[in-house]
Amino acid sequence: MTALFDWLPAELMQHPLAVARETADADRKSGPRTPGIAVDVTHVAKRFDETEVLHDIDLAVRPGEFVAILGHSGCGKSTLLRLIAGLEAPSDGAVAVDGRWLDGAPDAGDTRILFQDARLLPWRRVLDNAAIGGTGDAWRAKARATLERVGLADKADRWPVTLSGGQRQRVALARALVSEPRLLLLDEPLGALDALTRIEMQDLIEEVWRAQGFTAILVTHDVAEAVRLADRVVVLDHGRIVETYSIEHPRPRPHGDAELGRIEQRILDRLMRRKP
Amino acid sequence: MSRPKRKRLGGGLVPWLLPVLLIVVWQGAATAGWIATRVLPAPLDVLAAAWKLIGTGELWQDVLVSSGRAAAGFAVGGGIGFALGILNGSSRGAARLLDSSLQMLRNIPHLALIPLVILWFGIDESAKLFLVALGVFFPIYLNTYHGVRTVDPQLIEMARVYGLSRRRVFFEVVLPGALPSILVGLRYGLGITWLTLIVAETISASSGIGYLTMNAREFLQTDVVVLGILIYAALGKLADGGARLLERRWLAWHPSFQAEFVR
Repeated sequence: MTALFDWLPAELMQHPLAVARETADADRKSGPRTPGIAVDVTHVAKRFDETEVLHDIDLAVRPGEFVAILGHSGCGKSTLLRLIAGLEAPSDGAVAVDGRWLDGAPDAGDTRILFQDARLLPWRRVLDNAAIGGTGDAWRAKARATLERVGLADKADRWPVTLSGGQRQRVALARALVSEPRLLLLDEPLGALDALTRIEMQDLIEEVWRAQGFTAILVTHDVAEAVRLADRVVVLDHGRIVETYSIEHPRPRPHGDAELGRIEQRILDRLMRRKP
Repeated sequence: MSRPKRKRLGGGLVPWLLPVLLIVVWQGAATAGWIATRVLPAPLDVLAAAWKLIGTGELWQDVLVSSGRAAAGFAVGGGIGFALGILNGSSRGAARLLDSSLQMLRNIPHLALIPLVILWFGIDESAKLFLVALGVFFPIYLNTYHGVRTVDPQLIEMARVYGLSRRRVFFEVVLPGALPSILVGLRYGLGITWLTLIVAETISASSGIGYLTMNAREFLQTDVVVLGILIYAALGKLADGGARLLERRWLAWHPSFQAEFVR
C-alpha cells in the first residue's frame, strides 16, 4: 500500500483529508490521480472604478480541500473566483496558486473553471468540445473516456444545442476533467439547472472530486449545496469574509441529513442576519 | 395511408403551379397573336434561340466570359472585404482608423461611378472588375466585421482559460462564430455581383451576356434579349444555391439547421 504513495509530496501525505481520499481511491483500484494544489489569497482587494468589490480578503485553501464561497448575489464572490483564476488582477494584495504568484494572465496548466453557463462551442460536436484543451488522438480518446465518466458517451457526436442544460453542464465538467486539473473553480455551475438535475450534478462533482483529489472552490448562493459539498464554507458579505464554517461530515454525504440541515440553518440565519 | 403521400406530392408541385400557368398563358397568347413578337417573343421562340446559340457555341462563350468576370470581381472585392472585416473586427485600433472612412464610402452608390470608371479604365475588363469588386466589398466587409465583433466574449474567455493559443482561438472560436454573419454577407455579395455585372456589361462590353443582349437589341432579336435576361436569372440563382449549400454544410450546428439534424 505505502509504495503507492511514494510519488506524492511528503506534506500532502500529512494532510488527513488527502490521505483519507487516497486510501479510498486506492481501494477502488482506479490508478494514480493528480493531487490538488494550494491557493493563497492574501490581503486582496478589488476595485472597479470607484466601487470596492472586495476588501482585504485572506483565504488559504489547502491542497485537495473543497471550499465553498457563499453569499448574496453581488457580494463579490464571483470576482474572487475570477481573481483566483487569473482572469482579473487584484487591485491590492496577491493571489498565489501552488506557491506561485499570479500576475493576471490565466494559468492554463493546472486550473480549470466550470462557468455558470456551459460555454460550449456550438459549432463543435460534444466530443470535440470535451477535447478542446488539447490536440491529437490520444487526447480525444481521453476526452471520450471522460465523457463516459460523466455518463454522456452516447452523446459524443451530437451538437451542443441538442442537449439539455444539465447535459451541457456535464460536457463542461468533462471538458474540465480531461486535463486532470489540480484546481477546479466552480462559478455557480448548477445555478441554472432544475432541482433534480442539480442534485445529480452535485453527486457527480463530489464523486469525481473524491476520486481525483483536486482542490475545489465553489461559488454559490445555495446554502444546501455549499454544506453538502464543502469541507469549509466561507460566507462573503459586501466584499468581506464574515464567517467560516468547517463541515467535518463523513462522505458521501446523504441527502436530508439532520446534522447537515442544522448547519445549513445556522448559515442561513447568519446570511439573513438573524442571530440564533 | 395514401392520404399523407398525396398531400406531400401535391405540396411539392404547388410552388410550380403559377410559373407553369404563366408560361402556358404566355405561349398561348403569343400563338394567338395577342402579343407582338417584337414586344415579347413566345417561350418556344426563346428556346429555339437558345438552341441556335448553343449550336454555334456563342452562348457558352458569353456565359463563360460573364461568369469569369463575376468570379474575378467577387474574389477581389470579397477578399479585400473579408480581410478588412477580420482586421477591424479583431483590432480596435484598426477599426477606429478605418471603419468610419469605409462607412462614408459605403454611401456612394457604386453604379453612380460608372462614368468616372469609364474615364479611368475605358471599357476595358478592369472597369467591370472594379465595379463588381467595389459592389461586393461592402456587404462582405460589413457582415464579416459585424460577425467577428459579435462573437460571444464568454467563449473567447473560456478558450483562453483552456489554454488555446491566439491562432487556435481565431480559427476555432472567432472564425466559426462569425461564420453565420459572413455567409449572409456572401449571399448579399453574390446578388450585387450579378446586378453590377448586368449594368456594366450592358453599358460597355464586347463580349458576355450583356453584350449578347445589347447586340440582339440592335437587330430587334427580342428572343435573344429575353434569353439573356433568363440566363442572368439562372446564373444568379445558381450562385445563391451554392451559397445555401455552403450554409448547410458549415452551419449544420446552428439551431436554425437543427431540425433535420436531430436524431
